[in-house]
Parts: sequence; structure tokens; C-alpha cells
Amino acid sequence: MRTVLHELELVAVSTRLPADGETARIALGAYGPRGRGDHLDLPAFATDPRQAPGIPTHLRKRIDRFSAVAYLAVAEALATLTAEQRPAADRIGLFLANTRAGWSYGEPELGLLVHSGAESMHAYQATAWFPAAAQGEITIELDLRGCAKTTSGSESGFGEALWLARDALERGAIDLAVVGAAESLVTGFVLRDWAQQHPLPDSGPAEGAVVFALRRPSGSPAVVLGELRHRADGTGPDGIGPDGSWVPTLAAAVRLHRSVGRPATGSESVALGGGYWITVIPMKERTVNTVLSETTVTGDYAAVARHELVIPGPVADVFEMTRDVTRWSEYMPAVTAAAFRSESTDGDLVEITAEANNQKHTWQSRRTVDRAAWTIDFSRVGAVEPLLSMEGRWQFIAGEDGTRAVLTHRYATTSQDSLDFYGDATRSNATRDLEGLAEYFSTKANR
Amino acid sequence: MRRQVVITGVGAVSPAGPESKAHLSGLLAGRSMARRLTEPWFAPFAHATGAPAAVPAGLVDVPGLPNHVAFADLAIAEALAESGLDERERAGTHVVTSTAIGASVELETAFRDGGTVPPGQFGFDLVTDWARTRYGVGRDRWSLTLSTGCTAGLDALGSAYDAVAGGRAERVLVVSAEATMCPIVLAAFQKIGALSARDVEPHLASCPFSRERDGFVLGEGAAAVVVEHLPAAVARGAAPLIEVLGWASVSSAYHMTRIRKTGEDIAASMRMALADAELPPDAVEALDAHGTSTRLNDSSESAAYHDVFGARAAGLPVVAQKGVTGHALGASNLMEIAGLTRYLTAGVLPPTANTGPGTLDVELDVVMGEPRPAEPEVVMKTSSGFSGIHSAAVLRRLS
Repeated sequence: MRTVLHELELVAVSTRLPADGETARIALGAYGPRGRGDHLDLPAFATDPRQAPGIPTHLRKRIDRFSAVAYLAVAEALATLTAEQRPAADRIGLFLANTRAGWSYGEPELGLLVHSGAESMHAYQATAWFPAAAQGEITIELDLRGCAKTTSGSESGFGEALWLARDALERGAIDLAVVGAAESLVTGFVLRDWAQQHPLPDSGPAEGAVVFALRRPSGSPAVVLGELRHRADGTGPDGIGPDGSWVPTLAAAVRLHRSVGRPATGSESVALGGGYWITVIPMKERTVNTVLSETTVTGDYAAVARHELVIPGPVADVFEMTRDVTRWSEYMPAVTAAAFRSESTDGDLVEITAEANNQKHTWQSRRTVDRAAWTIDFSRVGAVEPLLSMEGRWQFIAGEDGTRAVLTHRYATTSQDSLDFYGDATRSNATRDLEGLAEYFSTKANR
Repeated sequence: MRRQVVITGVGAVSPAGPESKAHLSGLLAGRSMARRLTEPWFAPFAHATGAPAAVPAGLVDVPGLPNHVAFADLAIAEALAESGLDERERAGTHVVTSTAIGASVELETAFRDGGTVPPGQFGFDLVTDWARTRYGVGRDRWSLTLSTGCTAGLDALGSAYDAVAGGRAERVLVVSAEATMCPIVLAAFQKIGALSARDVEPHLASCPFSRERDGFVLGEGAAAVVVEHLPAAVARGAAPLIEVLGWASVSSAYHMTRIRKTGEDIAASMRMALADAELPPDAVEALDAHGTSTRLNDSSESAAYHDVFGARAAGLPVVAQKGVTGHALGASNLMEIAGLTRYLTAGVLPPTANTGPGTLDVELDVVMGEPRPAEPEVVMKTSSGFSGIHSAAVLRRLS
């Protein structure tokens, strides 16, 4: 069974980036772009990262600089994990974006091939140059045996890596995903990517790596990445389009790193390039008592959404507050009106008016109340296509800290678009309703 | 209940021909397409053998296209035509592409002659851009570009499967393309002993699962498949060709080029793919192998089959397409999925080139000699790649 993940919990971050103002001098020589002089100073490491202390000696001569920075960042991120955060080797995945391959290894080898013959080349050309090289060397060196993938979309590679990591977590293939971007443009040949008539990029690093360790939401206090999405026009709410950075994937990873480290006052949408976006939800907004949300696709255009939250009140009070729909508009932000149309021992018929996806909807729902089990079952009456059915249950479980409220929706529609519509509406409203219920009891308790 | 995912269009460009039916004919003929590489830039090589894609000059009507994009162009056109997608449906289709080495042929050419490098050729998403601009596919939809070495084609298919099965897409065009016929690629693989170096005629060099095998032969080409949610395909009157039931991918954490002889990592990917498909090993009725013709791959793959299927392994038909096509690196798996779709639909399993009862080196029912009439329902595809990646997929023939 695949469970749709709307949020990913951030458990570690690591960067390996050149310092502000640090540059690497690139001799353009025979292979660099024409008309750009003898050398260029790029925002990159002044010394070869393959010689950095953290690189195992046996790797230094057989990897490219992009693999070196990737290795350093991934190793550091994993080293910060607690035992609880680090699953078994076969449950850790690695998802890296690399969009230009490894020319610090590849360019000298091409030179040897052309000028001295194939016999002069080194054996590691076959394993050092291609984009998946870093993925391989890292999984081998750090014994990571889960799903590992390399993405290469020029603008969107980092968003793609997050996408594949999310997919692997959703299908249950791994429990921890290390996701990032690792790039290095520090050779003359690869700088031919910018023809003489075009200006060189002027922002972001030309070399480096940024990685994030992510897992399914655990309910622990953490920064959360939510709603990984793609917008059709390649721009987002701020109208940000493709940037003028040296490597868009690395620039995107740096943007996300800055956002998660910033003491934000609210959620922030971060452009990942190529139309991909993600929302950073800072820890400040999330307490231990955070709505847990999961949606499982159960068939063609059908899904189950489960949301739960601890409500700081006695189970009988929380149950009664939820049963009495006439009170809903007091604490459920989406509900503008709710009333009983009939009440009986067999069940209630209620009518609710609420906003969903910025539209006002009115519907009737038949409810069965079980006070012994603290459950309220509901089923929409006369569902109109594209909605085929909408039913579910409120369940209340007494606990030490209050009452755990579990709200489950089962719904079916006639198309993917409508499934998405009702999925968004259910998630948004269930989250706000539970938070409203918790806020009501929290406020009431404080009075 | 999982959303059902089907393939409704297939295209392939291979050393056997510029479209999938020619590819199938080549597979059924069971004769390797490898030849001696006589182009001038291979002259310094004592041994230069490969299986170039069979694309007649002028077939792709866009001059200056990198070879792998030209191959992809033909495969995309064929797959879209078979799927019957109209303009609106194409625009709403997502794109997943893959390549291991991108525009290596063109980059080596530019390196040698000092010429300019056209925009994008250092990148790996030229095929993604091409599908959008030339065919109007997914102009406003998300795309993924994978570069996971020699499992890239299967990984691309798996990623598309995830999107459709998980409800994030109704339809995805999957494309894998590779152009390998250049000295740097030949030299790199020769240097590590991955290529066949036997002193035999080129067409005899690739012989998967034979005791005479000593390495693979470089191949190249492209494949494209349209992956769809079954109800969406049926609703628009498309004819599903084959169903995708699940997939998985693992890392061996062992070696960049070697595979554990026990085949345990390949077996792990197979077991996870079966779990994803919610099927037991007993459900599998045939195997389409990675079958590179290297000493290590074929013996490890055989060990994995015995590990997963036990006593049944020796009786399961095994197809190894690289005997005919050579190894097209990142495109090979999807080319094999295209071949698999065609041979399953035709009700026949293609023979493995150059491997016969007298040279068979494994206790497997490798299809040899002549095409074998058969209608297996559930087939597993396995693949392995540099970086220690092992991926597997489970597919079902639709009657």
C-alpha cells in the first residue's frame, strides 16, 4: 500500500560550499571557451576538495570534484543523526542532482585520449565522470543500500531529486532519504557551455553540495518540508523564474538551505527551479501536538485521508463538542454554518456550509453517533458527480494529555482532477478543523 | 486497491532498426548486429567493435541534432502514434527521460575540433526538452530526467509507474536514449575490461550466459513508452499493450563496477519488486535478463534467479536481448521493455544470440536457437548498473 506524503520531516542538513568571496582560478588553456582570456575566477573551492581531510585516501585519485563535495556533505549529514534517526543501511536512500557530470576528471582523460592514445587513460574514467558517480561512491563508502537515484534536469534537477525521494518514502522502499545537489564546473571545457556572446552567470556557487536528510513525519518537533509541487508556468507566487546562477540545481538547494535555517515567522514557499516548489514550515509553527496527515490512494479515483491531533480536553467534552454541529462555526474556520435537520436514535441528518478550495459548498450528511465507543460515523447524502461518495469517522481516544481525535475520510470521485480537488479540500479543512478544536479547548482551559 | 498502470504505446530505435517492429524482427532473428567500427576516429584502436543504431541517413529531418536525441525523436514519434494521444492529451502528459552519458559523441567532437558546444549539450535533459518542443508533450507538466547509469531506463519506467499508481499523473511519456559510438566511451569501457576482447568476428562477441562470454559489445538506441492509468486509457479508446505491476531499486554498496557473485543484491531488487507488485515469486513465468555477456553479470544474475525462484529457476524461460543489440547503457533497459512488450504481444520469446546448448554456462532455461512460442502472463525484468544499482520490474501480458 502506498501512502501519499504531503510533508517530509527534516532531520539533518549539511553543506559543502565555498566561502563568501572564495574563488578557484580556472586556466582556460586549449579547451576553454574562446574570447574569455587565459583564465576565469569562479566561485568555487580554491583548493581541490578531493584533498580535503574528510575524503578517504583511496577515493582521492578516482573521483571527480563533484563526487568529493557530495561525499563530504552526505557523510556530515549522516554523522549528525541520532541512533533513532538512522535506520538500517537498506532503509537509507540517496537522491542527488548532478547536471554537468565530472569534467575535472573527464577533461584530462579526454586530453590523454586525443593526444596520447587510449592506453594512456586511467581506468576510473568509466566510473568518475558520469552523473551517477557520486551516488555510487557514496553508497559504497557509507554502506547505504536503499534506493539511490541521480537526477539531471538542468533547471529542475534538485526538485526532481526531492520528487524521487518522496516517491521512495511513499512506496515504503526506504525510511530515510538523503537528498541534495552536487556540482562542479571548474574546468575550461565545461565553461564552453556559455558561448562568447552570452554573459557568464553572476550568482550562486559554481561548485559545492547541499544535502538534506528527510523522513516521513514522526510527530517530533522538526522543520517540515510540505507540498512538493510543480507549477505550470515555471514560476511561483513571487513570479520567480529561472535564475542567472552558475548551476540552478545547486542554487536551488542553497535557497532551501537558507530557508530552513532562517528564523522564519511563517511558512515560506521556496522555488526549486524548473517549476518545482516546496513549502518550508518552520519548527516554530509546529509543536509536539501537530496534526498528522496521511492520504492513501485506495483505487481508481478513490482515497482515504486520515488526520489526527491531541485535543487538550476530556474525551466526553471533546466528543460532545464535535457531536453538536451547531457549535462548529465557533471553532472550525472553514465552517460558516451547520445545523441539525433531524435527530434520532438511528442517526442525525445535518446540513453544513463550508469553504473548500476557496469555494462555498453546502451539503447534508447522515451521522451515526456511538457514545460508548466515542465515534461519530458520517456519510454525505446525495453526493453529486464528480464526487461519488464521501464518508468517514470521528474517533476519540482518551489519553494522559487529553483526547486523541482521529478524523478519517473515505472518498471516491470520477476523475483524477476531482480526486485532487477533494483531496486538497479534505486535507486543508480537516487540519484546520482539528487545530480549531484544539485551540478551543486550549483557550477554554486557560480561562 | 492499487491504480492499474498500463503501457499504450511503444517506440524503439535499435541496432536492429529504426522502429520497434524492426527491433522485434531483429530479436527474433537472433543474430547480433555488432560490426567492426571503421569510422576514422576509431582507427587508433586495435579492437573496435560496436552495434550502432540502424537509422538510415535522412530519417530524422532535423539537422544538427545530437545522436541520442535523434534516436529519441524516432522512438517518441512511434510511441505517440501508437498510443493515439491527441494534441490536448499530449500537452497533459508528463515526461520522464533518462540517459547515462548524454551528448558524449558531440562533446568529444567539440573537444577534438575546438568548436563551439551548442546550448544544452553539457546537460542531460535534451530529450526532455525535445519531447516538449517537437511533440508538444507536457509543455506545462512536471518532468524528470534520470541519469542512473545502466539501470536508467528501468528507473525511468519505475518513476513513471510511481506517479500514475500513486495518483500524481494520469499519463507519462517515458524515454531513454543513448549514443555510444565514440572513442571516449569505447576507451573507458575497454580500459576496465568490460568489453569483449575475444578474437572473433564482431557478430559473435556478445553471447549472454555462454561460457565463452568475455564482455559486452557497445550498443545504442532509444525507446519510448506511454504509461497510463488504465481507466484513462480505456476512456479514450486506447488499447493497452502490457501492464506494469511494480518495481524496485536497491544499492549494493559493494563496488562501482562489480556485482556480488551471490547475486544477493539483484535478488533483493527482485524481491522488493515482487512485494511492490503484491505477488509471490511463484507468479513469475518468464524473465527478461540484463544479460550483458560479462563473466560477472551473467553468473550473478543466474545466482539471483536461483535465490529468488529456488527450484523453479531452472525451468523459467530467460530472454537476453543484448546478444542481438549489444549494451546501450542507460537506454538498454527501456529498449528491452519495448522488445518485451512486442514479443509478449506476439506470443513468442526471442532467442539469445550466440549462445547454444553446447556453450550454456548457467542452469537456466535460456531461450536459444529459434524463437519459442510462449504466452507467459507475468514477466520480471532485471537490470544492473555501475554504481552498484540493481533495479527490477514486474509486468503482465494483457490478453
